[in-house]
Amino acid sequence: MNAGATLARCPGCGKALPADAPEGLCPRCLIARNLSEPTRVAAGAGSEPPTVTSLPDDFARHFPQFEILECLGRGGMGLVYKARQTLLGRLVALKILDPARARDPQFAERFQREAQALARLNHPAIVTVHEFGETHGLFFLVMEYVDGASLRDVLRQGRVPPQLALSIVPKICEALQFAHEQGVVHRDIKPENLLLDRQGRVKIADFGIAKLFGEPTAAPPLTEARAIVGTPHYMAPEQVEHPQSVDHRADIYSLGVVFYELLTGELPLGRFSPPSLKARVDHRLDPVVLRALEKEPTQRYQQAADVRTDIEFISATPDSPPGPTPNPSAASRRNTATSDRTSPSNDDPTSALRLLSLGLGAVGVLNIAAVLGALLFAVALVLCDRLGIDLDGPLPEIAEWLQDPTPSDWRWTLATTGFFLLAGGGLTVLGASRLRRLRSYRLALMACVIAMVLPPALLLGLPLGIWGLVLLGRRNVQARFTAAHESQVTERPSQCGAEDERTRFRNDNLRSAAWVILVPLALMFLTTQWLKSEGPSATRRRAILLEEQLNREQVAIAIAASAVDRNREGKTTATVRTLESSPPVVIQTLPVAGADQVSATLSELRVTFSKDMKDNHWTWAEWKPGSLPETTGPAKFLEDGRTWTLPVRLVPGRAYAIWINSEEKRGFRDLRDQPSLPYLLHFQVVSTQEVSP
Amino acid sequence: MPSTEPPHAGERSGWFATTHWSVILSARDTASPKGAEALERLCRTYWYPLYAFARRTGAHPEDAQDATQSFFADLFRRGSLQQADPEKGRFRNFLLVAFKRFLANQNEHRHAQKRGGAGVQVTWDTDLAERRYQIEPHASWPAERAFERRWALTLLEQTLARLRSEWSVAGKAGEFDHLKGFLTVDREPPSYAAAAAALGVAEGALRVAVHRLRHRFRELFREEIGHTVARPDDIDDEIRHLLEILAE
Repeated sequence: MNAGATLARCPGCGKALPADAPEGLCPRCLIARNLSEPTRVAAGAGSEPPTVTSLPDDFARHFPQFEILECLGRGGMGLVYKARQTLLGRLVALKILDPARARDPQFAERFQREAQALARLNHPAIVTVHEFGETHGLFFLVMEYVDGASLRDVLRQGRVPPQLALSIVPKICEALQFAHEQGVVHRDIKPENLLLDRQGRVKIADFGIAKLFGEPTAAPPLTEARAIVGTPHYMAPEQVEHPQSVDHRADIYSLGVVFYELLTGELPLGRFSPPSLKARVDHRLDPVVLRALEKEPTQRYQQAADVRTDIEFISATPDSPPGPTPNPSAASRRNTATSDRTSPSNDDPTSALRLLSLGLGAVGVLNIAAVLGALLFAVALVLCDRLGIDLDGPLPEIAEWLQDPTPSDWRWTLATTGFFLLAGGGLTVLGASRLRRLRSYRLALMACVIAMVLPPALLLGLPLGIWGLVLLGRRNVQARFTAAHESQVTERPSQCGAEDERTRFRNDNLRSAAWVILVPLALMFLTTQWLKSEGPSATRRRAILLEEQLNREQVAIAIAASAVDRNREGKTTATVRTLESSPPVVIQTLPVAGADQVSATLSELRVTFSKDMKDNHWTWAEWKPGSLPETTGPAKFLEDGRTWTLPVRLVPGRAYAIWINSEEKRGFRDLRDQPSLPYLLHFQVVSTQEVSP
Repeated sequence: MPSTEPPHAGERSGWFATTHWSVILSARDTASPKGAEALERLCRTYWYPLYAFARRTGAHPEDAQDATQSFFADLFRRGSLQQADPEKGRFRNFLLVAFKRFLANQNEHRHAQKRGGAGVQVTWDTDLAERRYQIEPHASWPAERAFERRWALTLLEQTLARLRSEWSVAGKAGEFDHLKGFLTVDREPPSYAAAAAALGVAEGALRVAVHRLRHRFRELFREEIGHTVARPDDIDDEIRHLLEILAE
């Protein structure tokens, strides 16, 4: 590529503009965007899809008073030509009705009657019918030529700004109102029939033409199946269902469709969202659009002028104005919250609501994640423990604690807390999702409250919840919930009534909430049950083993001690050497520890250790206050160097427990100054009654 | 739209597009003044792609200019048009094939010119041609492809020039400059609102104006192509072909 060939990029396709691009425009896009699609017949009155319509080749000679210049469009109803009226020198649109469709014997009469009515429609926003007639079997209308584009052409250039829609639609309303007052219904309002002249002024074309051919959807002959008059997406439901009872309110429905399309760039098909959810549009227009689009004509605006009034009121006042809501739509009429309080804020709540829903969702997810994380940690810990994987630090203790098989309050407290957090988190997320789709005001409120009180994400949740409550308290926000709810209820293509639909909605919300509560409940219950199942933990088993081993060691020490006895005079064995470094243990007591038949006449306690002990150190400690017998003299160290005695007076029937060295006090020490292992000497003295027999 | 109309309304209506190329084809046997005039107009418009082709095949600027001019002179004088096949029907094809043949036999043609070619002389600014040639991208392209691309661009230039002149005549040259950008985009940007503000019109009016501009562009472009094909039915084919060339 030559240097300097990529100076700029085409805004259409984003590719580099060649240096020799004509007029600095991307040559590719010039052709692709203007010519690659099938050639459209554009501009002028209507551009319906081509049909089988054909005119005699020499039709032009039947219209000697016109100089036919250009074909502007051809469609189900006929052909439109741009023509010059030679005598007057004015440009007109000559519409020649489809000869095939005008064969009906009653057509001539109907044409006469309707065309007269149309010719009376003299309004700046309605394409004027100058003249009409029939020549050589061709029915024609001579109409004002509008030098401009149809609304369809304008829509093809991209979405129009709301201001444009707000300036056009009231004009259409005005013209429709005028025509309706003259008893003329358009029956085919759609962007193709709404023309804009070079100054951007709107004009309605093809008024009442649909009626010339009978009802739009009256089952057409099979051979003309393609020639259905009217455009399904713009037709009021009653135009399909009861074509005979169509009145001016059908036009109001079609206008609603056009309005919706202008605002959102989409058609209101199926279960559609209010315009303000689709585009940056004043949310107060929602009820206006939705009311124009009511399926039931009686629920709709009854006069086109009312639509205009509401729109102009909204355009003229800032968002959320003081005073009653200007649009007494089906939605707002049912909304008892509609009062006359001034809303605290004027801005569009769409983005705020979106942000709130995101925030609440995050808080909920945080809560859920915290609980699930803790739960997973506990389960993993217990699993490790049960599988015998070594754990460090405080973990084994926690694992054992978790699996404690005895009924314990703390575990239930923990499980309940977990359940509340989990269910709360779930409800917050549910509320946030309902808030996002404006489906449940109550769930949204609940989500805010829960977000404020649930601890793990409280830092984020508290301010968010407060803000949410303030936001949800706004009247315009409440109205949006109501409007969205109404639209979802009424626009659902369902056989059952709106009331059933409303109940279904409520049940749906309740069901979701129930799930969100039941699932954590089951989860926490099952986990708790599992934790305490399966008997003792590995830690516990290990503790038991350790205990047994200690016992065995003590026995071993005792045996070794007697061996030392035997070898006292002789050589010390390897075992003895090993044992020398071990602390001494109690190997014999009088009375025997645990004895329950000790005679009250016993006057002295005796303790023998496994090693030679120092003679001036001892600790006879009470196990608990009063568990030490009354001493009758000082303790004595016997000559074997290992035995101590303590003179005591025992009381019949009493139990005694004496620490021979306790954990805290360790007076008994061997010659290497190692304290003996603590030993609890406990026994029961027989009562005198038991002894006497 | 001319092409969608039945060709029955006669000259009165003016919507039956008589293409220059069809005039040439019908006139080729008689060498009528009308045919010569149509040919001259076409040559005047489409000389540059041939010049670029000659340059691309390695000719020096002077030689390329010489060859192109001789070719046209020869075309007018000798009635090379006899070779044109109305069934194939593309002026673009015809011109390229004839030019290639001419270049191949250039010596003979030079000689012919020296004998003194009578008829129409097509002249142009040589320097301008060379400057244009120098800024052409894709120097590595084959000459045929460069010719076709250049052809498509010439058609577009011609169309835009006519469009501009129409708007200038109506005293709206400034408006044209603001609006032409919308010809290559389907959606914003450029912003309709900004353009409307710049021109001091309502946005609705601006959108109507954009629509009219695109509509007129479409009409003129089809008309320009119509001059280079034998039948109106060929226009859509030719548009497709041009789009393919430019898409590469």
